[in-house]
Amino acid sequence: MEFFVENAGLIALLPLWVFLIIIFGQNLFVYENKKFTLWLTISSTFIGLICSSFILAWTFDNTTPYVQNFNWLEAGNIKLSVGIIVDRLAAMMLMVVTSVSLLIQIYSHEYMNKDEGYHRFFAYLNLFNFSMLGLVLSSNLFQTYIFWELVGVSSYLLIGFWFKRPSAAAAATKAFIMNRIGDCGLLIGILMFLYFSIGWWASNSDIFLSFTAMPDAAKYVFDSTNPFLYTVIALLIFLGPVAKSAQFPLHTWLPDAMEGPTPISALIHAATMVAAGVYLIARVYPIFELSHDAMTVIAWTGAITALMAATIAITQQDIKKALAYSTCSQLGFMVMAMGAGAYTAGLFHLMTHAYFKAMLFLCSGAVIHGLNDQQDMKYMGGLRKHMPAVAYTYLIGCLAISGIFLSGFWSKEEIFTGLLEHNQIVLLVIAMAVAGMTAFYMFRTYFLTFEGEYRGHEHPHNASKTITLPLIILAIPSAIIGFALCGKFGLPSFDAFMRVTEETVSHNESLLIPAVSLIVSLLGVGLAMVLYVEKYRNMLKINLDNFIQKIKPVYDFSANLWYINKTYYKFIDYVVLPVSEFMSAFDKFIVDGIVNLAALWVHFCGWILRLFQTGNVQTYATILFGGLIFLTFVFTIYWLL
Amino acid sequence: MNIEVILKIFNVGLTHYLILGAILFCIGILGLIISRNIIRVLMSIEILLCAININFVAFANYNDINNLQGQVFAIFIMAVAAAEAALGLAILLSLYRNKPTVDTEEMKELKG
Amino acid sequence: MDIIYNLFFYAIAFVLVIAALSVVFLPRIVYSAVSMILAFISVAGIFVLLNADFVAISQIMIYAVGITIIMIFAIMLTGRVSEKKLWIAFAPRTLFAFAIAGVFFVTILFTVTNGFKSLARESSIFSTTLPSIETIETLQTQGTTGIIGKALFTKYVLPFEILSLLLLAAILGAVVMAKKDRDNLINPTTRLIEED
Repeated sequence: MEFFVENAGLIALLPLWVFLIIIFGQNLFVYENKKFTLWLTISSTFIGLICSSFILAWTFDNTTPYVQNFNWLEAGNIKLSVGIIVDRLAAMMLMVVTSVSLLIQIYSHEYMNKDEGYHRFFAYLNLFNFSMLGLVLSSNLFQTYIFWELVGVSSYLLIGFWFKRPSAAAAATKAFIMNRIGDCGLLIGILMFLYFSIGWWASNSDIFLSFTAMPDAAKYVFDSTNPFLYTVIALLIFLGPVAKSAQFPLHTWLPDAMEGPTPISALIHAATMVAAGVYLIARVYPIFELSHDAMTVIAWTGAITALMAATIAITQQDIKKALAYSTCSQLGFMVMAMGAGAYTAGLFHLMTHAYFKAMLFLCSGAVIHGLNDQQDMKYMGGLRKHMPAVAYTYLIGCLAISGIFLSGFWSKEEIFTGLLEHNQIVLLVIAMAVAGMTAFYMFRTYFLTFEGEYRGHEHPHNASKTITLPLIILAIPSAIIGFALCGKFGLPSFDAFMRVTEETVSHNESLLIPAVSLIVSLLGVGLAMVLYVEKYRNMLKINLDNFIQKIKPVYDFSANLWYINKTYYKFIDYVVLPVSEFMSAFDKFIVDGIVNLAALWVHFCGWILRLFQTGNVQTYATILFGGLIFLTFVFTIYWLL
Repeated sequence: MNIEVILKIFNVGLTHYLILGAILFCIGILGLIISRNIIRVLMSIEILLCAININFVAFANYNDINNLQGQVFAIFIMAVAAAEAALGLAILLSLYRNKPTVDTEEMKELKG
Repeated sequence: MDIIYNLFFYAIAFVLVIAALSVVFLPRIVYSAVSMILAFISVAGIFVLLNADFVAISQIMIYAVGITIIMIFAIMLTGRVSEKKLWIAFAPRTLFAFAIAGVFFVTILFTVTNGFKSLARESSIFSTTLPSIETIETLQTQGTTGIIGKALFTKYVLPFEILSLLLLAAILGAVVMAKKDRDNLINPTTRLIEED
């Protein structure tokens, strides 16, 4: 089993090779065979899955991480290395990423079958796989940053997959630029951290910015800087996850990223890439732990994101946008949990969320595909009769995310417990409220899509086996993985698995938290049922339109995404663009002016020299004789002295 | 400074011939540079060469009276001067055919 | 202290300088050519004073006759005599020329008179005495021609031969350049009657 751990890098490199094969194959041979691309991709991911499961089995017995590094760059006293780290966190992430990737690749075959960019899609999928797996296996912060950027690039390429659509191209650019803002903060944070700890790293035997030495390094930096500066460094590092995991100020790219194909939304923007931010928080957790203020900021950022996204999701008409805001909200949950100190709870929710959110997106993709690319829920309804498999898996997903007995319930309960343990009562209340809203809007989408009468104009047809099979397979972990790893009733505990230190934390075994969360969720479901299932609506004589009219300002605030996008655009129009105009003028007139001045100087000297070329022979004779006489004069003086 | 010493200055020797040569050379340079007529330029060149000849022959007379190498060289210079004058005329005629003027101010095709 | 010798020198030198100045500063080109003749003949006189009879004669033959003819040809072939007088160019180079000439003259004066010292003394680096009477008498009876001829054919025979080549080249060059019908030179035709 050590073989798999030692060669864990292969898991990441296989997709890279497949990417290169597809790209070069397409450009050199322009082959049409879709099966070739499909089987290459699926086999590489499947091999990755097998290896990941072996690695996971290995980590059951070994708690010390396996690290292997290669020296890469050395300059002065800075030594950068590349390497892999295999510990429990990495193993868990590997399992999640490879399993979800595999199922989505199977799904995409059917979904993208008629698309002309099929091979390009799979090539980008492989590139993304490589980036994500590399990020998970990175052993130091530099390497993580490299793969962080790579994941951003893959996301850009995939969001803008249908690049001929202006909205898709714009969304891709927006995603990349917002991620860039986060990356900028991350890089500055990393560099500041390195700056303050360079002496410590140089005298340490471990590689620079390695995760295994992170706790001690963080302690060193904490001791050698004043607390404010340390908080600044921690928050700058946090800026990366803020962008990547779509937290409050930098979240607007995620709903726009729904312009990409649905499998991409499932893979990147639900299960894996947005989880990279949470993963990074987990990796640099020692840095955050030491700064109480940073943790508070992180927790509250998560809380605000969760709340905001949940309120917006209530009014969304596009099914994919609703799911996107749901993702944003759940990510807020994870970040809030990590900020509050419930490290393992956040990771548990990450894992369960990956499975059920991917499944939800794939279901919505099946619906959209079946309705010939209709995404507006106004024109859906009653699809349970036409697509039963999709409907039931979607129902399982909704139950999971709402926290009703399926896996979401257990992970959310851990988050609530963690919040309570760390005495974050306000956050707990917010979290409960958001959980209720989550239940409400998720079941709203379910009822609008699958119940009632069909309100559209197309002929919905059922999805094929290739589409429904991944859905069914994903339904299994969505349903049971929470329960299977909750740690109660003698089942294996995710919590204990993740805690590398063997300290035992006493859990509050009271039933208060689970009961309250269950009640809140059921209330949400009930409200949704009442408002959106026509049978009950007519029974209670509720007119939905009147109701919306009555709360119009609140409704508009939510439907217009809290006007955040508009604010950003105004900011760009009135602040960013004038600044860039100024900088452009500066560049044109001053920087270019200096260069032109140099050329002008040459021109000027040439002009002066040209004055000597009169074309008159006698002028030349003058200079000739002048030189001669000058020499004579000089020699006379020499002779004299 | 009595009259005898002053008169001694004017006793002709090598120095005076050399000064004469220098004067002629300067006049030649002057004519070469400030003339507006090309033919005058050619004539000034001949004056230059004559000045040089005076120098050579003066040295031959005062320092080399047995071998007279200076005079031999002056012969050579005269031959070269003749050849050069002939060619100068040929060039002048070519120029005149190109532009029917002998004004040096007009011959500025290579300006700039 | 040969007074006649000095007198002759100063007279001829004076004429020479005036003639040379006239060459440069007379407005009409023909006047300038005539004073050039005078200048050449004066130079011949100087040569005679310097015991260089052969050189003096050849000066007259080559310069005062040959080169004068060349200059007259030049004047006649290039424009009428009553053309506008082209005199001195009033350009920056004129000032430079005067400066150069002045500096040069002063430098030479300085050098030749050993820092103006020899003007006050009789002896200097350069000898100021005439050659001995015997040599002068020999030169005056036999002439310098023999000595020059001997030198030309023994010591300077190589430059002599090369000089003949030079003259050949000069003649050919002058003929080619001055010819009107240049095309016929490159592609010579043997036609009795030239058709244009």
